[in-house]
This record gives sequence, structure tokens and C-alpha cells, in this order.
Amino acid sequence: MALSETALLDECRRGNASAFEKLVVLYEKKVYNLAFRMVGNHEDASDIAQEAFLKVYTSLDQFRGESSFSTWLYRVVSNACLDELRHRARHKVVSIDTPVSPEDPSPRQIPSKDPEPGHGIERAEVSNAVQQGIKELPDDHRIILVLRDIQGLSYEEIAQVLNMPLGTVKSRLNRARLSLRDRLQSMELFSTLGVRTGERGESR
Amino acid sequence: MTCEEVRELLSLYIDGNLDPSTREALEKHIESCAECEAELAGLRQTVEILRSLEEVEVPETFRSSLMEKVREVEPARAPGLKSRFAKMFSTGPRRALVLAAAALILVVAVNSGMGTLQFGEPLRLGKSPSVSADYAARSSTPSSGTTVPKPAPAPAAPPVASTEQALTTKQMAPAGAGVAAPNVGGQTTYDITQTVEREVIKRASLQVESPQGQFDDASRQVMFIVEANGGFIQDSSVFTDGDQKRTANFNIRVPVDNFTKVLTQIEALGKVQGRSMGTQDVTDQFIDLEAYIASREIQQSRLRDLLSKAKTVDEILRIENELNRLRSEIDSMKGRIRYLKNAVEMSSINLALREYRVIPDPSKPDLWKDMWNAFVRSVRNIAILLGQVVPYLAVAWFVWFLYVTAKKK
Repeated sequence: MALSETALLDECRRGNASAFEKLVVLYEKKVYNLAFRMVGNHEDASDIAQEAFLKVYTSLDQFRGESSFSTWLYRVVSNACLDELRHRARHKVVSIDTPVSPEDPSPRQIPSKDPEPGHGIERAEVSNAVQQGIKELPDDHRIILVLRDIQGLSYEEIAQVLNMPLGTVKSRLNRARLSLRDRLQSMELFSTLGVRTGERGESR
Repeated sequence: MTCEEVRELLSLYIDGNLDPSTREALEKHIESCAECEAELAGLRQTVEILRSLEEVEVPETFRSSLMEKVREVEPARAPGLKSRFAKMFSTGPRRALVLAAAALILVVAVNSGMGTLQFGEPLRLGKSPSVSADYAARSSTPSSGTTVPKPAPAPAAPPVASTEQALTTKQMAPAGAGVAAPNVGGQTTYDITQTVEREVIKRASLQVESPQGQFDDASRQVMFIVEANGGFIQDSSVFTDGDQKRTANFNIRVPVDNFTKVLTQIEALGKVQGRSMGTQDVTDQFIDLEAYIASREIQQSRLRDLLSKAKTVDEILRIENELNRLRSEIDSMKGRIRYLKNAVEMSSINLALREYRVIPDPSKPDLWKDMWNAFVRSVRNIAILLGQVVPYLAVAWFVWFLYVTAKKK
């Protein structure tokens, strides 16, 4: 795996676009999901993810394998997200909440894994509430939370990706989780789950 | 350990990143502090929810449009180093001009007394209004209809709607044939209202390790937790491996409402070594089954009509045969529905509870044991010493005895 990845990287450095496409196939899901959880809508996520991949492609010669490729990739994407959010905060661009295109929101969210079209109202509601909760966290907390609990990186990897001391990662992650929990609790998400399923039981 | 210290460490604890002694201290504190225990449970649940979030799918056009852009950049890279240098030189003067201008502005700015403080100030000023704008946007979220939370239910809704349509058309065809229309129609609407709520089967599997002395206690606790939450243990087994360590496997069924509660309680029994959760949406199966049953029932009543008009024995027999076949089909489908309903109502948890050996902690020495060991060691050493010395002593004594008797003579 590692070998074929370095081979792919070499090919990419030589300007082989189809080798790069293979890399994109390998990592697009991670990259896209990270961007989506960070900016909260598909249009911006798509833009950021593409921009990040382009940056990777054009600056591959700067990657010399001091870290693993995925760490480096995560760093590029994280920076792209944080830049975008900073830019947005400074210029008060469009709110995150603005619908991408009101006429046609359909091709946006396609549930993965499951071949079936829907995912259950509760599930969608929970994931919306969580997304909402995540969105309300400060950027520098949110990115750590997303990297750890959604992308599954280790503390050390996160410290590398964000170029910060391990202690900062630890304390910020804890604070981020605590404040997300407070938000979820204030949305009564924990209890609603039970109530809703209870209702369904009775209606049958 | 104080509550505050514990709360600082909860995340590390959940992620299994604490060293053993800190972990022990934290666990001890949590056992005695209900508040911290609740904190931990809440945090665990949060992390669990985050981990169970579905990955969003990458839009189909993403890769193709990215690759288009990549191929556009390609020529710029392909020419190689030489031409890139050439390009740099060609753009060199312009770039130098820009740099010079920037440097000039910087110098002027610094000279005119814009210190670092003031550099920071306008930045912060620039930021704060947008932050409040962000807040405003947030507060408006629940009221405005087409916000981010919307897209997720939206794709979920059309499939339901379309199956609903398919269902009604399926129903309409036989109903148009004029048999038992009102009856079936009523049933259909009932079914639809029910299927709007998704039928989801929840499953989890857990691997928990428990220290040797607490294994029996932990197994009892599992049964207790399950029963207290209205569940039952479908089957269980215990076996001992080569190292004399036991593993208990439980197949647990709990009401879906208590699913997460039971999970967190069981996880608190030991070290969680592995956890996986999954859901299966069976709404479509419900819809299909119910539609099949409805159409079979229509067929059934039509056959009964025919049966009453049948004249020859042969006709009667053939219709009876067909009716029997339909009845058993309907029965098996109803059975399947019952099974699915049960699976939806009772989530299943697959638990493997493993025993692990507690390695004695060297930091807590046992004085009496050490003394006894030292005593045994010293007795052994003395015996060895005797073994070494006694033969020489015997020889020396014999020589001395000969010498004394010779002298006496």
C-alpha cells in the first residue's frame, strides 16, 4: 500500500494526471467529508475540497515524505477550510445557512453505504442536530473534533496536521466535546431519541 | 482527584489515552461521584453520536470537474524546470514591482506610527461584527425554512413519497376491478401513515474486558442491566481459553428506547476493546410486504366469489387449491412482518465479555510476602553453605583425631 502510494506520488510529480486521479479516488471521501463538516454545506465543501486537491497537485514537489501523505493532505485541507472560514468571517460573505440552490437541492445529500434511498427520519434529524451543534463550535475547536471523532485521527496525528502541541489538542478536544454535549442536551437530542421511538411503538 | 481534574481528563479517558495509574484514580473517583459519572456518560454519548454519523457522499461530478481543472494546470507543470525558470524571469520584473510597492507601504505605515497594537486593533474590529452576523444567522436558522438542516430530510422524503405512489397505484389496479375496494383502501392509508416513520433495526457489537477478579460480578451485572431495561438475553455461553481466561458471549435483546442506555451501562463494566454499531432500514420491506398481502387478499376474496359460482367438482377443487396456496403465502408474509417488527422494537447487542489477568502492581509491594520470600531464600543459602563446608570440616576433624591419637601414643 505504502509502496504503491509513493509510486503514485512519483507519477504525479511527473505530471501524470491519471495517477493523480487514483490518489483522488483514494482520498476524496475523507477530504470531502472533512470540508463538509467544517463549512456545513455542499457547495463550499466541494469548492474547498477541489481547491485543496489542486494545491496538492501543484505543490507535490514540496512534499518530501517527512510525514505520511495523508497527514500532509489533511494539513492542506484543514488549512484550506480554516482559510475559507476566516475569509468568510472577515468579509461576512453568505451565511452558512444560505441554501445552495433552492430550485434543486436534490443531488446534494446522498446517503452512503446503504443502498436504500432514505435513512429514517430520526437519523436524519439527529445528524442535522449534530451538524448544527458542530457548526456552532469555534473553528479551531471544531476542526479538532471533526478530525478526531469523525475522521478518526489520533491525537498525535492531529497535532501534526494542525502543527500544534499535543497538550493543546487534548484540552481543545475535551472542551469541544463538552460544549457539543451541552448543545446537544439543550436541543434535547438525547431524550428526544427515546421519546420518538416510544411514540412509534404506541402508534402501531 | 478533584471533580475538575477528572473533567479535564474525561476525553482522554474515553479515548483510552490515560496511563494506568491516572486511569485507576479517575475510575475510583467516578465510582464515588455520580455527577462525574453523568458527565462521562453524556460525553460518551456525544462521541458515540459523532462516530455514528453517516459519511456524506461525494457529489458525482466532483472528481470529473476536479480532474478537468487538474488537466488545465498540467501544461504549466509539464514543461519542466527550465521553462519554469524562464517563466519566473519573464514575470520577474512585474513581481519585483509589486514587492517594492508592498515594502514601501509597509515602511510608510510603520513610520506613521501604526504600532503592533494598532495593527491588532482594526483586525479585531473587523472581525467582531461578522461574528455577531454569524450569531444572527444562527438564531434565524430554526425559523427559516430552507436552511442547512433541510437537505437531509429532503432526499429521505421523495423515496417515501414515490413508494407511496407506487403502493397506491398497485392498490388501485385491483381495486378498479371492483372487489373489496373500501376495505382495502382503508387499510392502505393506515399503512402509509405508519410507514412515513422509518422502520430501522439497530444492532451493536461490543467487546469488553474485565479484570480477573471481577469477571463473575461483571457477568451478573450484564444480566441485571439487561433485565432492568426490559430486555432479555437470547443466548449466552462461556468458555475458557488456554490461558485459563474466560470469555462470555451474550446475545442481548433490548427495547430500542433503551438501546444506548444499555450500551453505555455495559461499557462501564470494563475496558471497551471494540465497538461497532449499525442500522438497517427495513421500511421498504414493510411497504412491500404489506402491499403483497393486500393484493393477495384481494385475490383471495375474488377466488371466494368464484368458488360460490363454481359448478363442477373439478372447478371447486382447483379453486380450493389456489386458495390454500394463497393463505399459506399470506401467513408466511405476516410472519415475516411480525419478525421485522420484533427486530425493530428490540435492538440486538452482541457482547463478548473477556477476562484479563491482573498483573500485580510492582508499585504496591506486599511486605509479608517479601519477608517470607527472603526467609526462604536465606534458609536455602544456609543449606548450600553447609553443603559446601561440612565435608571439609569432617576431613579436618578426622585429621585432628589422627593427630591427637598419634600424640597420645
